[in-house]
Amino acid sequence: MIRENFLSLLDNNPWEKISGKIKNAGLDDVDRVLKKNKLDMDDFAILLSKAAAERISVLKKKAHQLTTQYFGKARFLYAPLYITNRCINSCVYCSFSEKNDIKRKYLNDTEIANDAEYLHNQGFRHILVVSGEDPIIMKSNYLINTIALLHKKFPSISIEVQPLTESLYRKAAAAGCDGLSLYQETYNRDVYKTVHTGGPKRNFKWRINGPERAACAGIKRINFGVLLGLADFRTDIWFAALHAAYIRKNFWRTQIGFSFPRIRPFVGSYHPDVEVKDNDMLHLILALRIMFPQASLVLSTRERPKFRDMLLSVAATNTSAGSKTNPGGYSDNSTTGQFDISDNRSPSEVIEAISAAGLYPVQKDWDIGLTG
Amino acid sequence: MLKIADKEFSSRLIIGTGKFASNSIMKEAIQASGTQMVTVALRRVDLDNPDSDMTKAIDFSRLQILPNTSGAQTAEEAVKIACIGRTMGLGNWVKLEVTPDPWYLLPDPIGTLKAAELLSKDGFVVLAYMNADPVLAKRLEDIGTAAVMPLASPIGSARGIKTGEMIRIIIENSNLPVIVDAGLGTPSDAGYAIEMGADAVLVNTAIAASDDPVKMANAFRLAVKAGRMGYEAGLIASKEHAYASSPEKNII
Repeated sequence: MIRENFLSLLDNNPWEKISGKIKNAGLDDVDRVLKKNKLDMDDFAILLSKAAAERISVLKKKAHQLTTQYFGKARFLYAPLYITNRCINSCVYCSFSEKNDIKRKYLNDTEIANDAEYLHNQGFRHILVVSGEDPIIMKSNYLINTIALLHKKFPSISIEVQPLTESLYRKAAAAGCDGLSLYQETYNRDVYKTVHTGGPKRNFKWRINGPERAACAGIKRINFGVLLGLADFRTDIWFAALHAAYIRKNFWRTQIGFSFPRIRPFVGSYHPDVEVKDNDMLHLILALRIMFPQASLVLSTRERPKFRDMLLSVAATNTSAGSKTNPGGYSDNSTTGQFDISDNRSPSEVIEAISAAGLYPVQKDWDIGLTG
Repeated sequence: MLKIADKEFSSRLIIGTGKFASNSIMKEAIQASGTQMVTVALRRVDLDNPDSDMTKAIDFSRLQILPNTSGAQTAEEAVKIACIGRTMGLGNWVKLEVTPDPWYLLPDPIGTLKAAELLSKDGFVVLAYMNADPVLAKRLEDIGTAAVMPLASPIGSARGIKTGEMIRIIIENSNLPVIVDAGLGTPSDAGYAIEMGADAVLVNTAIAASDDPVKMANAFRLAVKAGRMGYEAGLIASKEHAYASSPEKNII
């Protein structure tokens, strides 16, 4: 199989050209696209435009209908488990940046088991293992051992860690990891360089090829995303969609999804250049649902309860609940979290809200038989 | 009566449980549908947490539970998960699904045949979800499958019967019950499949995702019943030209 490299696909679609396409779309274009059944990437650019925002109620109706068709009333819950806040990167937007003077910690097996026990008791069967970028993850078996340890209790384990080598992804999959969240943060290379001031994360190419290495290694679900607020979010989401479409085309067994991290207050002085309002975020989610009816659209507790509930009733399908973003946070509150939580409801309160909206909250959607 | 393996069913409607808004709505819809068989995704069943278990809403004593291997991408995964279901005490019936493509969830013919053979030899009553491929249906019959379940169109798509010509051949050739599964969007789709001679239909999304699942379940029940009566009564042949409803020839 000869595969076009994603980087060359990126080179063939200059940032300015795409942002121009999105800016220049008019209402006529939007109405034409909304009548189509199958959309291409040009149509998607039109769906992301400010003109399309004027048709938000039409987008909402269409996105809701597609979500119901493909997911029915089911909505899926997961919880993050932070294993370390140690990090050798200095990203201007993140509390874990090595430049920030915070208490650092990585969890030992007992501490991981404690948090795992807590989450298991809350009913979670899907967890997301999160860490800062720490050489220990590459050099030792820390991550792989952690996955294997957690897999005894959790049938579905996703990871949100630094980009790994293909062979490490393979080991992770063998240990029980079935999902990867790896956000490029921004597909704008200039902005990428500006906000990633030091550490291995400065390597744009290594990160951007991460999802492909994971897909090669047999990771089943891959989540894409950009950090909303770094660059023009409409253009950035277009590139995240291009990336996901590329993986889908070349790895037909891999399931794709999108997450929508929006910059939240953190330790540090960076202020985002771009404001992403609630309506903007809603627009992005609706556009992605229309473009990819089958994709998982994932929310975090960065967002406020009311807004999350609304997004889940319209188009989002997966959500975290009761999250702590500091290592060991479920049993100990002395370390610093990655970002502030806006939805402080307990998992059972989130579950109640989902049910109250006429939806079915699912905490277990995978079985050890499929992964272990 | 519909007969699968050694069991008989008076209802020809099988219900999927994956997309309902709540267990109570699912329970009511199951009742309204008159079904005697429901399929449950094993990956959703949580033995550690019986309180959240959707199977609590299902009357095991009255209904045939058909655990399914949804989520399995390979024959090996499907076999493993079917065995887990049996160990859990869910019986030896299994709806075999091997779907490596997460987009259209189309069944893998090679993996399905392989898993069906392994499971049938191991004593499972296998109902195999498959593309509407008449040759595959015969191959599945040869290796001991209990029923074939050709898809009408991609699962959840509500596109109706797009594979009708192939389903017709499967029904004509099959010695096994033929259950049309996936893609049936309306009660009339289900009625049409049964009129064609399908032994049963399986419906989930069209009921679970409708605004009134209970009413829709009842509508499917009636459509399936009407379809079967039509089939048994004997459908007349379609013709090229018009024929008057009140014949005028030889009247005077």
